[in-house]
Amino acid sequence: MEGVHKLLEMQGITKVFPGVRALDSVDFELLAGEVHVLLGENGAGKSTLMKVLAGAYEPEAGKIFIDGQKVNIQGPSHAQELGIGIVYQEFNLVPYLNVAENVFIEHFPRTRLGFIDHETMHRAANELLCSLGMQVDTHALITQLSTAQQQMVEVAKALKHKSRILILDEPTSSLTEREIEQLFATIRELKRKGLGIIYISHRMQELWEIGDRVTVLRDGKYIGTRSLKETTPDELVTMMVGREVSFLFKRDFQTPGEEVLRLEGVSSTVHRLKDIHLTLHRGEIVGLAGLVGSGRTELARTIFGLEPVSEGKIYLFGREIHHSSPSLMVQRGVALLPEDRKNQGLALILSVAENLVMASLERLFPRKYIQKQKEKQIVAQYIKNLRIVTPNQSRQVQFLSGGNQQKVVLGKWLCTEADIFIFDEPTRGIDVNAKAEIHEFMNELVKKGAAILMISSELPEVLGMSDRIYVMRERKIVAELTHQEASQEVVIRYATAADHANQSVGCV
Amino acid sequence: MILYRSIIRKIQPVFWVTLLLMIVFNFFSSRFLSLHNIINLFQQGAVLLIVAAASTLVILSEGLDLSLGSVLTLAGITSVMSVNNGAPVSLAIGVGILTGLLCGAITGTLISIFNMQPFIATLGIQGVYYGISLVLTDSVAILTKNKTFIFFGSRVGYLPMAALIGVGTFLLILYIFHNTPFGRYIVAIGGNESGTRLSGVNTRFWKWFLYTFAGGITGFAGVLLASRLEAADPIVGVGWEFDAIAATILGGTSFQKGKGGVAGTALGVLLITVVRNGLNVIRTPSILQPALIGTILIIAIVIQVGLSMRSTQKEGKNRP
Amino acid sequence: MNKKSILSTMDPHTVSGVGRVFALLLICVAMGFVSPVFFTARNISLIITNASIMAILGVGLTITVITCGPDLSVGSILTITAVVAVIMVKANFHFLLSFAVALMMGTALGFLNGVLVTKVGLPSFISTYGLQWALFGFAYVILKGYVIYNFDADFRFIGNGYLIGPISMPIVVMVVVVFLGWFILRKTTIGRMFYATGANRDAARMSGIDTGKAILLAFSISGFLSALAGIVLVARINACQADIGKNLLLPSLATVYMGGTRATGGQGGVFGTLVGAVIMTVVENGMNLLGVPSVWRNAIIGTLIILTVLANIAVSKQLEKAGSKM
Repeated sequence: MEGVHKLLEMQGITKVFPGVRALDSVDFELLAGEVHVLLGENGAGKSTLMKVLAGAYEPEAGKIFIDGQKVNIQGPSHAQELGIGIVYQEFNLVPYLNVAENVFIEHFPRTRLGFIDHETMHRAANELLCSLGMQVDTHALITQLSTAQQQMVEVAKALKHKSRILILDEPTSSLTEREIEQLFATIRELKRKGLGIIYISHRMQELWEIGDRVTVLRDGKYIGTRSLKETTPDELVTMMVGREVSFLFKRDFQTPGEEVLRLEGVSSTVHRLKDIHLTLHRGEIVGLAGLVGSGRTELARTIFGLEPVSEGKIYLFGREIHHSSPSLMVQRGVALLPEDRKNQGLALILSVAENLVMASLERLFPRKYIQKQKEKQIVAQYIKNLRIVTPNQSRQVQFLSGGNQQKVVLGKWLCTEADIFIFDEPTRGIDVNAKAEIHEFMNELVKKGAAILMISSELPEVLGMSDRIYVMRERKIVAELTHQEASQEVVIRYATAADHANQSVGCV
Repeated sequence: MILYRSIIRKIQPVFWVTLLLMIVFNFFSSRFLSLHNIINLFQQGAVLLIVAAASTLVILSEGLDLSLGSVLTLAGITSVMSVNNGAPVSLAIGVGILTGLLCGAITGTLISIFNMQPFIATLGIQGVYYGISLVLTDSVAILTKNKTFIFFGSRVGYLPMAALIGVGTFLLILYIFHNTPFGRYIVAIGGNESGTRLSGVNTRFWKWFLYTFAGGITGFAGVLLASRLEAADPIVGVGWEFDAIAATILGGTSFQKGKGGVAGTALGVLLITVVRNGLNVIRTPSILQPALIGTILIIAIVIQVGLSMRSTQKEGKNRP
Repeated sequence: MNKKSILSTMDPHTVSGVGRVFALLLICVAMGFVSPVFFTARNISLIITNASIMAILGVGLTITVITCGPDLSVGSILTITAVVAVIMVKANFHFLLSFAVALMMGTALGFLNGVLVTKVGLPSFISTYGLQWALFGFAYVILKGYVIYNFDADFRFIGNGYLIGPISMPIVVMVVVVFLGWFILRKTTIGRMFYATGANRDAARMSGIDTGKAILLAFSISGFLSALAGIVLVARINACQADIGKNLLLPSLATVYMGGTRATGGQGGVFGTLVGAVIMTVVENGMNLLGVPSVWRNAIIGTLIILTVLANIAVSKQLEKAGSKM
């Protein structure tokens, strides 16, 4: 692109952590007015590279140029001063401070006496948010906002120093379709104003909608940069993975067996679920599709007994369940693999062995006494079958790599020899190779007679893997589709939420 | 103003309970609601108001300071000793505050620099501060007859000096909480410490500063208490940290995520002071008092926490 | 293989446990220099007997720290149950009956602590801290300032009797308690429940563990053991008053943390606590022999707690560094 201003250039950036080379001589550049996508699998180095730019990390080697001038970024505040704003995937917002306070958290406007100038602060915050097309009461506490609104507060926070470079780290992972549209509209507006936007993402479907160019990283190394108009998904995936990968999901469909789970008219006041009807049979994978916030995880939690049912009945293997609880469910052969596998699935300071048997204590040791030999054998078996990499059984799980930690969580539930598995986003945050492995695995499970209820936000996955699909919207089930009936358009049509008016305070 | 909104929304149960207790106490002894006694009430609550404010600030940051009672004691002792040694009263007050600042700084170092759990750090350090108190006073209370010193804690005609100082200090702390970056950082550290640090705030320093500040104002409270008692007693502070924490909880502040505020603590202090004062006025035998007060407070806390749990659930899941 | 990688593959518990015993031996040797009386059979038996009361309390406290958080009311439960037991004995009830009542009361109070934590959702250090004020208050109401003393020989046997040679009854009780504690924690699924609940309550619950039950059980055990320790104590010193347990909280916490039990839960064990109890007693014994004035006691113990926890933090940081080189 001739004549367009080069906002940012990063040359030969290397970042080393104890034991791992996170970035190895990576180059990156950004032009004014472009959306430059940073693509790569987990661990490829995208977030690390951006953290270097945002001043959170200091690189071991490499140079950074802004507007052609070499800069030495001293820390997050310095980066902000240089015009670099970043919105992390996990928001850095304070729940019980209001919007304006959050936006100006490290730089409060002051009165002459040194106290906080509330008027100026709220006015400035309002202006920033309005320029982003957002109408929010700046006196509202963060806890009172929706995820999308919180994200806008983060963007405002990132832009308050008249930033020229905005980094968005996986911005759409928790948004509804409509909110994504709003975000894209904001991004286009910022482009028009000449900002350069670095967009980190995993999700191929959006790239062509919003991006101009894309840079691929793999294992901390720079692989290449392409213009999105001149490349294809397959080429990008090949760059990301280093080999050819097929997109097809292998699934051996078979006739479902007996009914194992049935929900009739189930409602939950605490989760605002309404009148859920659902069945699940042996040998089938039932997909639960819907937008973020439609209630899928809440439904899973209610089935598993974490929160009570206020109306309706749940039948497990034909028997009605009163007063369900996780202990009861586990006893009866139900397993729930949560979305946040690390924090909800593992006790990090306990050993691999202790985590693996955690859900099976009653089953393996009915007389309460732990037979060490038996435990050792069983743990060894699962370590071998799942190829968990660990020097020994008593290693604390916190020292395992992310991928191996996931395997321990899976192993824990396999060890329960459950008949019903509820997977909540089984392949989220997992790289492409491992994804295929997990799908194969799920296939094997149901072939052996288990039943799987799979919550997923990735339509291709849901469509490829499920015998049947329930679509949820606003805490209700709005459709039940067979494998043949389902398609992206049909599912999205059912899943799309009705409009809600936003809270508004006048935009001046 | 925002203050009114936040107060009214949060503390209704405690308010009604306090009102109820006041009516009950007055029923058993009409002396309770006399002007004389009400002024007494405020005098008695003045010191706790300050210490509880300090405790609230710390709890909002998701921390805890169990050493406040010992700091209260030690500061009272150092200031009384200074006065008795002939130092001008203003200097003695300064010594007391300085003692508090020093103690707070040490506590803050353990918690913010060494990353010790606040609960253990303050539980351990309070033993040290009490030990120093005992050594300095040889385990007996030290009296003082210095008129100027005593003036601040006393009552001049209808002017309750201690109460005025206490309320004034509390309002100052309240103002600092809402209108300085420091005050906002406290909530930020409690609500999302790592996120706040990533946003460019030096959370390590401000956390340390918080404990130092809390120590300082508790030191001031200790001077005020010594002034009221006209003496410095090495074990006078025992149990104050519990009252301070109880007042904080009853005032609507939670232990998580920085929810709550300084304003509500005033109501918590009011309730506690009403209970203590009331039990005295209706002539409850002093033997029964600690047990009764402990039980009442536990029940009140259970009610308060139980109700706030319910409201948190209704608030919804929009947390970053 | 270099030193670091050996360390990283060893069980962290073992490493710090060995270090602790080493520290104990060092202190004992130092004490031996301080006073020739130290290494006599009589003195050692005395030390271990005194340590046993701390150890019995410590085991209960260890279990609650592992599962949830420290039970700060142990001193007060000890006091009030001892008071009740002593009054019953003086009123000519059978000594076994008074033991039974005290133990049941302790268990019930522990259960109450558990309820406050599980049903009301109060953090454990608040509810137990608050409860202790109430309980000490009640003890004071019952006994006022009086001291009750001179109990019958039957009652006192558990405190000052000797079973075989220098092995006193308190030591016997301690051994039994420590063994049972170890067994439950390390060899039963109940122990696993405790560790899991303490390490990550959400994950434990989602794994089907009844965390509420675990917490109730942990606190009930702690209450039971507090009462047991109280019985042994008053039987031994042949006297009881309303503030008998007041100074026990800090030393017993020191015992547990010195024993390597992690303050945030999920890790630790009773043998460490046992060593910690002996260290604390030796230190106290030493302070006595050295004539350290009692005003310094709390200060020293407080400092010890802080130093111990700091040391624990430093050690686990080192182990983490060594361990992350995988």
